[in-house]
Amino acid sequence: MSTIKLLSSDNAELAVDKEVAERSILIKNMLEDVGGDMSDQAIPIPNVNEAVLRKVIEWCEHHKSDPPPPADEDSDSRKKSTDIEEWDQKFMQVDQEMLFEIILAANYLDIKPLLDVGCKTVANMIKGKSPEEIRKTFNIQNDFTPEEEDQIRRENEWAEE
Amino acid sequence: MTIATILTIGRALPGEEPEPPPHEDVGSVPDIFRIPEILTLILSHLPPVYLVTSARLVCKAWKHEIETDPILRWRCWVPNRDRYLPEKKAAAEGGRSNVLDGISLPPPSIRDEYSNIHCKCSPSRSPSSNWVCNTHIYTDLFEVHPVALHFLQIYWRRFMRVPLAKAEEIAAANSRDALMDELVALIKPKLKEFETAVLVDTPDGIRLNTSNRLIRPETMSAKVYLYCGIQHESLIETILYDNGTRAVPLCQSSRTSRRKMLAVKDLVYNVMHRSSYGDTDINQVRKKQEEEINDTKNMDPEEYKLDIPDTENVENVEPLDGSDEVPKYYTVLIHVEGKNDTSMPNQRRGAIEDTEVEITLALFEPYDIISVKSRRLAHSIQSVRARCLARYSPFLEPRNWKNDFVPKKSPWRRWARDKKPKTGDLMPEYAEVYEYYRSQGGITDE
Repeated sequence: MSTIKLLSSDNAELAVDKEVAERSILIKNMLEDVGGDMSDQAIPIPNVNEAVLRKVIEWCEHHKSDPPPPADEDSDSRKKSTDIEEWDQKFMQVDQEMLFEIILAANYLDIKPLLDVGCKTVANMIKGKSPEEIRKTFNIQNDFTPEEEDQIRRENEWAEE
Repeated sequence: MTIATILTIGRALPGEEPEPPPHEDVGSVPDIFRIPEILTLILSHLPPVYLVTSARLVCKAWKHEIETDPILRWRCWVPNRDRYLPEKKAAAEGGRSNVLDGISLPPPSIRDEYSNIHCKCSPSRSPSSNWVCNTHIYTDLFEVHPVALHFLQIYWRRFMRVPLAKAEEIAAANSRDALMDELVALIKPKLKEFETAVLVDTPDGIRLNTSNRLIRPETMSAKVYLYCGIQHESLIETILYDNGTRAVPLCQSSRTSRRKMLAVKDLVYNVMHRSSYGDTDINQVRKKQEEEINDTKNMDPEEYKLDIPDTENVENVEPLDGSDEVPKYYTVLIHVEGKNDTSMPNQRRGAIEDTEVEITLALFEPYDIISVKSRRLAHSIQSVRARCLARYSPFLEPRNWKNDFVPKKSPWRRWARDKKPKTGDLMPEYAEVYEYYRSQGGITDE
């Protein structure tokens, strides 16, 4: 099995199986475009630091034999679910900063299943919280004027019993 | 081209989104919420009603995303409000016919998630071809409005938490199935309030008749029925509306409609869903539950073990052998009859299948909606048949009309005529009577 090297933003070189690295569509397409053997040259991943890249590789290694997502998705895909398999749940038990970094890396490297797991994890953190609690959890500033906020609350009156 | 160049231009870097959200101060917002694609992906995993009521209040960027992203609008059934703001209303042409823009057809990017094998637009339509259309009629199953489910949940909790004495009083004054009466009366105006609110201003001249917007796509429905009852038992039927035979959509109170005689087909549908619970009404269940609680209070806490039902596996709930056990679930079935689309002169479009949406509600705290399942009615009949008690013979199945339907009273009549029971005699079980009826040639085997 051939191995390739990835170079993180903080100049750490990580060796990884080509099959594992190709979970990233970005790397897969790039290898196809460049062609030939890449074993002697490290691929720079300028937006991802070493710690995050190691986590992403860990995820890719665990999921390397997952079947590719079906091209023609069946009706189940209509149902958005926040169910996350057990291994992924444990994998995502990291601090908020790392979680966001993983999501950004998955988006940048184009690893859709990892991006999905990350987004579901954030959705689970949001679920059931009040707007104020969400802002506090994620350090989001409330940029509504009191009038605008009142207007939305008035629009939501239908939801009251 | 170098690898570094490919990586830099291959994808947009995070934070370089083309249209920044309407944020005055984005300094404090984590990066992932500043990328609209990621924000949409996160929000799409949240319940639709939560998005509209709570998530919209977080900040301007979230509000903007929920109200404008086509996928989120589609999931929340939020029409395109921009088109109906007063200043834009005059400019919009044909607003009258496009009032449901955004909620009547899924955005193209997710249309592949839907399919309709019944569309007639196939170039070479044959039974063996795998032609799937998602252009004309995008789906083959109906969907239920998330706001209706939201209010079902709220109302169910309120209804179940009324003290038993009070609930019995209501039932005695109204009907055994007061829940459904109230449900129908409650959900209709709430849907209307929701649509009026999200549109800000109702466009002039457009009558928002939301009663028939309980389901989607509404134009393809002929009739919508609502069945309620203890798990597959005594499911009482009401027609929510009739889109095929009446000029005005019908949304009358179930009390009125239940005065009508049920059509044979509907009656059989009810019979089909019967299980072993017997004629149980909801107050009897609550009475039994209270008795159980009182019993456990007198027990040694060491001996008492909570009977928590397996909510993961509602599908596989076995029918009970006796009537001693208390049912754990209440079922609301929405049964939508599909119809052919005749809106196109050459009938290029197809049909949509009869759909059954089964909503399972817990009969225990915190009275959650356990599941919402949509399926083809044909599939439902198969599964119901699998879980039916043997005493309800396959001869009673409505879709096999080879044999006559046997009303429950027929075996009793035959038995009473032959056995001539006297007043005060113990009556046998129905299964025994039914077997006697069969043995006397009342029903012939296949």
